[in-house]
Amino acid sequence: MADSELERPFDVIVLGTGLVESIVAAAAARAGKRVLHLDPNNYYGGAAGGSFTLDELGQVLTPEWPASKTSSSTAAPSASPAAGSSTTDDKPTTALTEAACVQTPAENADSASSILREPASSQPLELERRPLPAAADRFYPIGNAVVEQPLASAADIWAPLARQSRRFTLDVSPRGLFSRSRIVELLISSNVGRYLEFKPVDQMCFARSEPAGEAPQPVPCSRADVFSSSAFGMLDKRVLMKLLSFCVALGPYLQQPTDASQVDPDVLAEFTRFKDTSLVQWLRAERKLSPKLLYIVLYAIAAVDESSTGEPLSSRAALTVEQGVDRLCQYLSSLGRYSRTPMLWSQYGVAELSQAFCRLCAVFAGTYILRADLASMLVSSSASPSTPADTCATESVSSPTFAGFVDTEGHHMLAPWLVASPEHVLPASAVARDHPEAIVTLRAILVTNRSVFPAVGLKDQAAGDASNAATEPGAEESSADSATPAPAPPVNPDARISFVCIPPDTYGNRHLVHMVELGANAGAAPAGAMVVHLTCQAFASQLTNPRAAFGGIVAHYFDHNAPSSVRPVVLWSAYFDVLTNAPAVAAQTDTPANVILCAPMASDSSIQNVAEEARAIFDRIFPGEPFLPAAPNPEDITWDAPSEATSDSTALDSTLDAASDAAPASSSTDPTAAVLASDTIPPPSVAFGEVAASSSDAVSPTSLPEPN
Amino acid sequence: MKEYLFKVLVVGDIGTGKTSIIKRYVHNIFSMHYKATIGVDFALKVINWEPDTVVRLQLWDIAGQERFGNMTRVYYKEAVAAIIVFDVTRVSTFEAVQKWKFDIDAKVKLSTGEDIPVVLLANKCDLAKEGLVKNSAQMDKFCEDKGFAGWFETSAKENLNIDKACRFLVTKILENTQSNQPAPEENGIIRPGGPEPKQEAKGGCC
Repeated sequence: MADSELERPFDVIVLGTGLVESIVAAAAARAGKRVLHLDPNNYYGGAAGGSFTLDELGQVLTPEWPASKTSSSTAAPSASPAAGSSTTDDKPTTALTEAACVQTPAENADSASSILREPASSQPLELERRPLPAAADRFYPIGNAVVEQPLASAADIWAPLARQSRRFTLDVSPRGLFSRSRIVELLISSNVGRYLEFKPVDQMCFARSEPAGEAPQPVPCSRADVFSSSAFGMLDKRVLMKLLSFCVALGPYLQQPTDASQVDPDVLAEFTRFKDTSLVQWLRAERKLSPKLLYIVLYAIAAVDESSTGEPLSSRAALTVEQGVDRLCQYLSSLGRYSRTPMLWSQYGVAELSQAFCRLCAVFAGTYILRADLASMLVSSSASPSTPADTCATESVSSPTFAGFVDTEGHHMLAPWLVASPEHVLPASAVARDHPEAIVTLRAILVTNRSVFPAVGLKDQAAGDASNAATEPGAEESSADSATPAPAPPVNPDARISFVCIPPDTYGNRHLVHMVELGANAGAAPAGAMVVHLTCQAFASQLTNPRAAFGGIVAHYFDHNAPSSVRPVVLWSAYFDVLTNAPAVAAQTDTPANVILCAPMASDSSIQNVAEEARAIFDRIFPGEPFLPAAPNPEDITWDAPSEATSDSTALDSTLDAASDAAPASSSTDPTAAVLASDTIPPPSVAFGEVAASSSDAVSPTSLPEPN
Repeated sequence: MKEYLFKVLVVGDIGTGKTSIIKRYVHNIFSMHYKATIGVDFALKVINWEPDTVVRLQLWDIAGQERFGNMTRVYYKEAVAAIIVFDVTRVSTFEAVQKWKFDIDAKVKLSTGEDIPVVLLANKCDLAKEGLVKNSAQMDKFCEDKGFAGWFETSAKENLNIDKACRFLVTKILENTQSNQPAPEENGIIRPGGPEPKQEAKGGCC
């Protein structure tokens, strides 16, 4: 039964369960398409986007490939004649050509001459089997991994924690979500958000090298914070408020650049004049930000990876005013939506997002196969269908078309489109890590025994959390907030979720580093342990040693020696990097036009572009189809008749449409202005209250009648 | 008035009648023609358990064809009980029962750390049986060995024993619930699309 299901052609095959791939799969299934979602891994999210236990992470960072590697390397020489013949057309590099044929020369010879008559297809297709690289020879996004065992002096603390491997949730690519971002809007509009649980990030902070030994300083998150601040003079405050007002005024225009009528002409004129120039220069020269103010706006809010003098740290182009204002607007509009800070943190790890979209896909009849064992890709040469498939040369016909996969058991799975993670289709030799454009995310994951935030700061912090009386988002500055009596219970620093921005050159770090410290609130570690993520991006050719890149930061905040009373101790650590733009730097030019490769998920500590990327892919494959309309709430569906309930798709569609009408529409008005106009934010304990499904007092109406 | 909301997983190999059982139990309908369960996560059954107690049971079907691989964590999380269904006419579906039980025990626990209660349904008992299920003493032993809370012969077609099995399961859940306090860290959880904080006291000027 399962096999016959597989043999019916699909509308799209998605290979890999990274977030973009999973959103595309969900959207396609939601639109009524037949979706086959495969992943060679036995977990969701892909290696770069997965969330792992302590034990699993070790395997993911330094995978032990199956023994197939040895056989393929011995086979390489015999494959070279075939490789030579196929370089005639569109194989630009010998490295790639060899890789394409290296795997299974025997099979290559077989498959090159075999023409498959696909049984499930109405008309016979000439399909050629193109062997997929074996796991050991595939591109793997993670590299340079070092896992360090704890020092003997910390063994007493570490041993009981290590036994609780399953209580760790360690993200290869930790990412927070801005509360008002396209991905959050998509979670809401698609109803996928109901599968997920987030915690508010408790504090947004920034580091500075002076005064020495200072704990990370909070970035104030309300207008009251700005005005009550004693760290800035009146001039700074006015400059800052003017800048924020400028951004707010531009908010609607940035959302909808076709409509400039709502924007103050002076604001628009300034924006138009400077939008393509350097953000740093504009803030310094035009907006007259003092160095202190510039520091916070640039790094803590806009997360600009440039020196404050405006010199780019790498050959990347400087951030423009347009990009920078967009980031400021994102930050400002996210303040106060769900909490005082602008960021949300996914409980149980970022791979939960992938899983939520996969669940939606499955609910809409998507077929899932994890641990998929694919042998070869089926390719048809549509440009010259009559050409005899005589040699390996058919591989290089100008426009090969993806047709499907054959797994190791011989099952054929067909679809006119493939959306794939590069790690499952590209051979390692096709992706050059030393390519001048290759961008890596450098990573460190540390398990520590307590927070870098001192317990003495607790009182001030708690007061700050409660000072929500006036909400004007966006503010810069650091010191004491206006303390109103605190209704919120004090939060132990060891429980908090803290984002710390470490600007370039603060602790010997060349690039902007995001530090995320996860306490008990995040559920990332067993009691008694904290997880610290360090992340920065760089060109692979310029910076390749994650250990060295974070050395100064780790030395500043942590102790590697015996447990000390001064600083937290690193109990366990892992350093690695993730290649983020494999498709862009891959030498693969013969990827069929109907194969879409997604970038591995590993950018900075926020997820901003996945929703758009997924949508662009979906629109390309299914133009004109609605993208993830709200899924119905199960409690709102009534089955009138058995047949209609399950097999009649039009009846179902109308039910779904009705449900989506009732769904909350994403705000079309300008969110930035709405937040700015608001006066108050309730304390966090009131703000997020939806009860869990298992709690006893959740009540909602149902339309389902009791059976008689 | 007490109200409970419980999430119950319904698993088992393809074609064992999971969807039929749910439809029969929740909507009291039976059809031979169910296809994959499309578009919904669960079916809701509201039970007037006692004069002052209402139990709302969410029955979570394995969506569509998620059967080939690992189910997502979304499916398992917060479940307080499970139903494993096999088809008495096909021995292979009974052989898969242990795999399903193992999977559930590995993926979901009560807050006390114990396994969730699981009942085993020998479905299609109106048809000719095959295998162990013909010997009810051996089935009792099997369930005890494998840690099932109990087992029932059911028929969605004839509406046999489905109510009884579910009442049995709810009794087990409620026994656990007495000792289960809701986890305190549930506070502060944000679900996008859930109610946003009421903050916009509009008209405030700044």
